[in-house]
Amino acid sequence: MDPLRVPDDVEDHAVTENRIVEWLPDGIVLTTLEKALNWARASSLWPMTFGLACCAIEMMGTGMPRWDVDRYGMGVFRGSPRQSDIMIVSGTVTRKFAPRMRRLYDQMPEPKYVVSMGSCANTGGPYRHSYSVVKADDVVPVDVYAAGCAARPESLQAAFLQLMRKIQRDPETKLFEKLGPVTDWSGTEVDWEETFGKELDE
Amino acid sequence: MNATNMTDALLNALGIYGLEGLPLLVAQVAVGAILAAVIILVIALVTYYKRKFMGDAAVRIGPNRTGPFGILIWVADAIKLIQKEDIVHRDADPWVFNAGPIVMVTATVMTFAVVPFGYGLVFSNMDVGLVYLFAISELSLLGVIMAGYGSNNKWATISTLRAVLQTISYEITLIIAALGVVMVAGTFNLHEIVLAQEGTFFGILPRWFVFTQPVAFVLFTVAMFGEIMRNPFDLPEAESELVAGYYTEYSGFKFALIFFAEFGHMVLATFVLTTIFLGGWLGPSFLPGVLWFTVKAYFVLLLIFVMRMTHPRVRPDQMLQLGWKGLLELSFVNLVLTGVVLAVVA
Amino acid sequence: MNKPPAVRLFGEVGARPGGKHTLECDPSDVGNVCSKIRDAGFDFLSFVTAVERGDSFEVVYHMRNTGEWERLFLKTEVPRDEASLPTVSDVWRAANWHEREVYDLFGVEFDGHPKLERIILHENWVGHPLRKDYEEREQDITLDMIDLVDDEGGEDHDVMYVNVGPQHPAAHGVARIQAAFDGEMVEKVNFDIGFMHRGVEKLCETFEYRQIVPYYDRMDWTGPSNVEGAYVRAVEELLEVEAPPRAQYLRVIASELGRITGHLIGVGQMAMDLTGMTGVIFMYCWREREKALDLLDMMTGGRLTHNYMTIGGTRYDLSEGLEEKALKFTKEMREAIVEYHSLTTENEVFRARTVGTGVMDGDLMLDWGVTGPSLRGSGVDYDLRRDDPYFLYEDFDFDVITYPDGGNYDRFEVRMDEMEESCRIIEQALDEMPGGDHQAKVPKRLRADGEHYAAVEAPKGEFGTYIVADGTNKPQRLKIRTPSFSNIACVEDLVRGEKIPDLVVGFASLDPVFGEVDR
Repeated sequence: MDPLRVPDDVEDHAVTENRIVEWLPDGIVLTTLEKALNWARASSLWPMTFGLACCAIEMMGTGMPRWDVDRYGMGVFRGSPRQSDIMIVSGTVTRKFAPRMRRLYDQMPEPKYVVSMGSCANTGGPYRHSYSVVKADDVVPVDVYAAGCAARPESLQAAFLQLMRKIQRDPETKLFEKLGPVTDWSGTEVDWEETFGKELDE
Repeated sequence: MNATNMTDALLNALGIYGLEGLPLLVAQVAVGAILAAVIILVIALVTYYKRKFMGDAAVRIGPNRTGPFGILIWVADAIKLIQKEDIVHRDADPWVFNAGPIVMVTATVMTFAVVPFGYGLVFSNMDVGLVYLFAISELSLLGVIMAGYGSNNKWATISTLRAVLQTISYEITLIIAALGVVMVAGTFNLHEIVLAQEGTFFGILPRWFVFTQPVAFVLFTVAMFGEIMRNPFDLPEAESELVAGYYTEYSGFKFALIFFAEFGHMVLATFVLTTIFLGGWLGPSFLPGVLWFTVKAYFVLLLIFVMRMTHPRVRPDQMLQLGWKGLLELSFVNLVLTGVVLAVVA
Repeated sequence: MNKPPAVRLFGEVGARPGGKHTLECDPSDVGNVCSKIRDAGFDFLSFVTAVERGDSFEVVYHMRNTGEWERLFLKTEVPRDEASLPTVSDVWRAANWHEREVYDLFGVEFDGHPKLERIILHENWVGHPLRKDYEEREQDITLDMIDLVDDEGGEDHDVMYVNVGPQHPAAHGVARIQAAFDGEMVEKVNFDIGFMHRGVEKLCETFEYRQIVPYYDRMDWTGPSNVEGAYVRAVEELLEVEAPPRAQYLRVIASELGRITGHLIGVGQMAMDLTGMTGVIFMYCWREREKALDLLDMMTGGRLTHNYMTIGGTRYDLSEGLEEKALKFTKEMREAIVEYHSLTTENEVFRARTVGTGVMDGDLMLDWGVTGPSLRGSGVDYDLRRDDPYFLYEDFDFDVITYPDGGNYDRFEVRMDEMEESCRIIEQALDEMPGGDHQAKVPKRLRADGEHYAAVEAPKGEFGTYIVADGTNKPQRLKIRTPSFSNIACVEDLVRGEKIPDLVVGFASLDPVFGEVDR
């Protein structure tokens, strides 16, 4: 079967592109190109202006003169989630805030990364017994955890560097991104046509 | 033979004369493409330089991991933005939403066609260059309106209204101030406006319009800040109030286009100010004209950066007050005075 | 319950400045008694809270008198089953939010309150968490979109409803302001707070007295060392422990360094809201802040969360080499303040933006319960460091800064000048540092009985702790009176009729911290 031929019943172009990728032998041009893509992703991570609690002050400090994350190309703090690549959960996530945080995460365009900063976001920290506190990874998928209460700027920078390394050797990066299974909050797979199809039709 | 535009100059340098018809068209498109590429590179480097300069001013270092001195940061930014997911949200008007950034970039790049970078180094030596410049650069406002309207976002709506108000208020001052120069130079052609600034007073002071039309220069500079929407007039994209203004909803490559158009607009403004008031490429002959042009434009760019870092933004009502009750009247007074002086001298 | 009416006791009240007095009355009388208290000169309501006492709730009001700064507590008991009493939000505006908080966390209802809704927890929340029998359960929390109702109505009334925050560059954390804009004008704002509510007051009931200090650090993250003082002072006064003078001086140094770091954030963020993120002023503020944090790091071992003050002293003695570094810092700080002035108050655009905007006079500010630099910016000469001295603040020579006009500019200037005063205090403290120990002898197991309220002058205002102890090693109830909570309540009056940019700046000029607001 001609791999480039698209079955008549498939209209989604993402599927078409996957076929091209599958057909091309690995490792000719694409690997180098993918390296370049990963390099660009890692070298230009724009954080969202999103401060929660105590760690937010240290997050601000990380962008300021002494620590200066602009060295890694991360100095462009964007107010709009649409233009940011990385969400720094800098503090306690409360029950009231969790749905909003999820919404912010959903508003960010792929590829997106999450750094959980400080004890509160990692585990609940000193507030883990409180009636209104949840962890960051209950709400969004976290890539890197920064330790500390409050996490010092060094700790956050270490997390950034770790994230950059993680991105640079990301084997998942493909020129044409495969559409993964659509999951809901809890991670269970959902039939996206059934869930979102109606909304798209309107 | 005097070449009056870039294509001719290049062809003459290659020893080709008198090209006509289709070959000429091909040559022009090629030169236009090269010019556009150079302009894009310049704008990209300006984005890098801005980050470095602002880092320096704020006792920081700025990008230094991507290439030597971090000079490739704009490459990383561009490649990253291209691969980002392109979100057109459900409530947006997709056609208008998608077309907005394209209109902005097209208008911005088109305006560079009439800027003379050196003697004969102008892509299109139009007789109505200045009029073309104002007309086309105003098109990017259309892009802003499309972006803001198409986004269907509350911040974008407020921002678009502010952008329209501000541009209308300051455009008139900008044009009237430039008219003072046009009256002295006697032409709308930017190339000839620069040539009209040749020579010196008393052998020292260059005959630039900044010295013969100082009021117009000040008015033009202030109105220029209003036009390019930078501090203290960055009301439409006021970060702390309107999140990101009219491009709040843009992601990925379309955001890159808007970002690029904004910087392009800023670079264009420095070029225009240099051309009209600072004698364009003119300068002592130990440096080539293009370099003089660059040096002057660079200092105007620094002015924009420094203003941006140090000055708060004004309120919308203050912006309107200044535009309509101060600058506009002054620009008319300047125009009339220039006419009177010209009549007396003549 | 035949309790003497409060009015008869007014002769005894005001016996001495800083003295306190407690009155009791029937719940149904609260409205009348409070208006009489207000008429007697108690124009500042510090807080309203409730304490669970068996089958009833004791509702506590705390008032102050701006004339002589005497304190008054009013207590009343309502039965647990039908907890309701008349509102006093028409007597003091400040009561509005405090009563809502008591309703939210305890379920005590206030009759006649203009808007008795949950203020901190989500509107779908079930239960009242500060009740002792509260059981944790799954809560149904949804994204509530804008719910500000246009009650002025009318078809030709074009108003745009906007959610500012909780994620917004000018939200200063997680404020959510539901605003109605008529063009550029702000018609109406409504605050939705509680996104940072971590239940500190409930958690503190489960800890021993010494374990509570770190939780105070994490409330005001711009200047935590002051806030520790609020707790330590209350517990020490309750236990009648006295810290040695050396410890008091060390605490003063930590507090004033904390005040500088706090004000640097306040000043810098307000300037950043005016300038945009590319402005250099915020970066310059951070340059100095890092130096102050280094000093605090040396003193306490932590940049942000110090846990420095202990009950009866400080955790560490003066670090070696701190004195020269601190003196160098105060010198550099003074130079930096001149630089900040050249970037802000000497800038024509800055003045045009701030002078005469967000104006509120001192009486109204007090009515809203505003304290700290924001109140002093309205010309009210009130500073707990001088009016109710603690930590031997009476030894130091410093000025209480006031500015008369009550606008955004004045509040900004107060903070700028206070940083200079803080430098003065630090220098004096280092110069006259007494010898001796830095920690008093305190029993290993602390048991307290009785109740006490004490407050300190934090960078944001009066930060107080109301402890109710029941003889065990844990507090029975710990009410934290935070300045930001009361301060931001006044925003709805402050920005009405101003433009959108002044909403942002007016909010920033109050310098709120959301760990304090929501606790």
